[in-house]
Amino acid sequence: MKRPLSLAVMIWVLLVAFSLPRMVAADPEPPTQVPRSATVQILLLKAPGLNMRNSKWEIAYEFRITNEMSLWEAAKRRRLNGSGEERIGNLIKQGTFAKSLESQTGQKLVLQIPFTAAVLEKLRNQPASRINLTAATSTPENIKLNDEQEAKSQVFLFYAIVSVHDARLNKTITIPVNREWDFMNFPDASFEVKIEITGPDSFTVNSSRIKNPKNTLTIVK
Amino acid sequence: MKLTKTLIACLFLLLLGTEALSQRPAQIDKDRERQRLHLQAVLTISQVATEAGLWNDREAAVSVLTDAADLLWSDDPGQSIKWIRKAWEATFQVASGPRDENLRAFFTGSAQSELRTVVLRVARKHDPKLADEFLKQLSEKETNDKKERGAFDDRSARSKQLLSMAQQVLDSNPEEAFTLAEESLVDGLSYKLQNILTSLRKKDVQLANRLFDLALARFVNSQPDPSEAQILAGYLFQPGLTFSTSSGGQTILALNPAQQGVAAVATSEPQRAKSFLNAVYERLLSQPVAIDTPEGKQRARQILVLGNLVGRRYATFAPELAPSAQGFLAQLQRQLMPDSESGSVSGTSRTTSSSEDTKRLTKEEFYEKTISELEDSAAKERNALFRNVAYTKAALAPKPEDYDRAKRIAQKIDDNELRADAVSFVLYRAALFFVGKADLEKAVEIAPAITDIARRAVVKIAIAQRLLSSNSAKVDPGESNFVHQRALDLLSDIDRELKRGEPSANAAKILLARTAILAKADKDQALTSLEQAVQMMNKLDRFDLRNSAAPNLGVSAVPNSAATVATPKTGFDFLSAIGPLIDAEFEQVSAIAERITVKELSGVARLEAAKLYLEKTRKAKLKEPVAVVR
Repeated sequence: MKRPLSLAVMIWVLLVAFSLPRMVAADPEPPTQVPRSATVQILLLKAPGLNMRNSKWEIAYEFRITNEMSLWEAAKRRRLNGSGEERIGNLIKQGTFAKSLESQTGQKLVLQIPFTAAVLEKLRNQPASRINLTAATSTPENIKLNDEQEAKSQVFLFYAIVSVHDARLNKTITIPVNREWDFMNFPDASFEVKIEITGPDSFTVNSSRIKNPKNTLTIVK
Repeated sequence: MKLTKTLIACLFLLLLGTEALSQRPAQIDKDRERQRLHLQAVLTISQVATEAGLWNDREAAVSVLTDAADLLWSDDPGQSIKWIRKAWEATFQVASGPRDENLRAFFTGSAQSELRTVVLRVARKHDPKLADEFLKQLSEKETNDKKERGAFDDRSARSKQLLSMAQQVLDSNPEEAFTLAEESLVDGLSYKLQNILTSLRKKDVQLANRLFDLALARFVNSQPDPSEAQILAGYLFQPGLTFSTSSGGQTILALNPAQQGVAAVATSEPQRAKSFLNAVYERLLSQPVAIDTPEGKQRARQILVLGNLVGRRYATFAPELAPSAQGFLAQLQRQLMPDSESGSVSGTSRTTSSSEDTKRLTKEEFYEKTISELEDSAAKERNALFRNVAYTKAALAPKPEDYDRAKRIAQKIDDNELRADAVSFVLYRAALFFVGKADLEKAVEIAPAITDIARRAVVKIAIAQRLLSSNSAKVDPGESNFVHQRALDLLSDIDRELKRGEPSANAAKILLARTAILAKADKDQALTSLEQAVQMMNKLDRFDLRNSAAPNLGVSAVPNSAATVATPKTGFDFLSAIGPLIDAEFEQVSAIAERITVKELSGVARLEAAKLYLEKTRKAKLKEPVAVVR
């Protein structure tokens, strides 16, 4: 069967120069208000054994922060070395939780992750807007400015392993949840992950999604 | 003597006549039976189409009504027109949101638009005027409710449908694809046109050239959008690549891997490349662009993005226009970005870091390095959950045939269940690899060690399929019987094992594949197997009868692990299951399909059976002389 063309294409959103041309030379004002902590809410919405006494879940997570330049370098390293296991960025918080899935309160987990002074400083230094670099604007000054902005643009990284034991299925399902959320698109640092286990061998994970991407590099395959 | 000869001749004729008379009733009975079943198939299709009007599942209703109309159009065009109209109306109740929300900015293709293509194809096949009427409705509706377009959406709902149909018929009927694509040009040059031009060129260079010329004429004689020029530029200069601009002003590049590596058309068609560049210059690069409105600014950005692609082509194909084109682009760039220095419009878009000092490794060294790095990285994990998942990834890194090594790594996983899952998966993958390489003994040796029931079942199905397909070439009946029995033994206990587990769509799929293989060896057992598949389906909330893909039996901890498996070359859908049975067991298959409890699913199954029966008997009729039954 032929795959529809739309599925067969890969799309690159490139960093391009047109949205705010006058800001190229301007010194963007850093945001004055930054959140003091991040919130990650993880919900198990559906599972055959939800509300059953012996159903439970365990979550191990790491919440990290890095900048776009390091993210880009890590992506290049992965491509060159074929290694995809490196967790990058500076660790802000890690932890492990285990909860019963019998009650509704146990089916929701809210992680509050306070930011240290150093992290707050990084967030305050986040450029309010970005230069869009293209062939047409690739002057040495603009490339330098772009590099500086990439180094200051912060990205939150959430690495988690969710292990759900479903009493009805009598099975444990291990689900890795790795997400990158850039501060520019998520200025309140509030995120959500929703998990649904639809059968013994099927599950879905949905998480906070950028509605209006702002100058980020996206590779869709 | 003469009398004796005459008597012998009479006796001989009498004998022949008696023989013919005894055969004739048998043939008549056979033909009558065939007619009865044909009528039953037609009635089933009619009945299911009537029921479909009341179904809640509108997607299933559209597909059934369309199939029914297509199948019975020549017998009952009046009723078929009613069904196809109903199907068309029902498409308006199908979800029109994008199939994938993540891709909304790029494509907004929906279930609704896919189903409309199906309906339009059938309407066009039997009644082109009706198809035109539907397309007109689409254009009118689109004028009324404007919605946000994705960067790579086609110019209109009408052109989307025409080009989707063109894409579907391109291989079998390039002329029809040409006609459909030509019709789409009324609404402008759409994204899919580039793909059609490139594919059409592989089939028929003349047709592709004609379509290109028509598209260029449309471009020249309109107020073109710069994105329309990207379609032709992509076709001429960079097959498989299309640039576009999102509503936010970002440049987006779509890549069709199937068309990468295709030679650039411009080299073999320099005159067409020149005509195109002339047209771009005339329609876009010599027209003033007002950038004091958001629309004007957006248009200017699009022209600059186009300039990135075509700017440097002028020197080769239309050198007389090169200075003016470059001058215009530089000026436009200054207008948009007064603070920036003017750079080349044909440079690269992103700087890369300095050269990497990685030592070049051989393939084998790289393989070894990757596995040991994954193992080392897993060993360094302090958190048990992270460590277990890391070891699972490392265990899946070796090649399928290197399963002993994979098992050794998997043994390091602390969690019993995850460890068993990883080991079961690497054995499953290895067994299927060996089936693919025709090393059945190795696969048979591995199979019993696969603890996961579904995976073991798929391996058994793959082995049985291979045994039965190799059996047809065997001359020795003893050996053939032995192989036959061996295949049956492998398939015999799959249903019992699957029933022990929780009902799942994967289990139902496996039972359907088992039916398909069993049907080649034992039709009665295959019917029982089909019955079991239906019982499994009846325990599920939903099931897609028409999805023939192999079940996803990967390790949940490693997404995409299923993609590394060489799955058996058999369909895991209802149609594949009933294919080998339908000729001889149409009534039985229909009766089993009726036992599906979800009415939509049962309707689709009954229709599939009737449709297949009609198709097979029609094919058989074409092969044999026509029998007339009075």
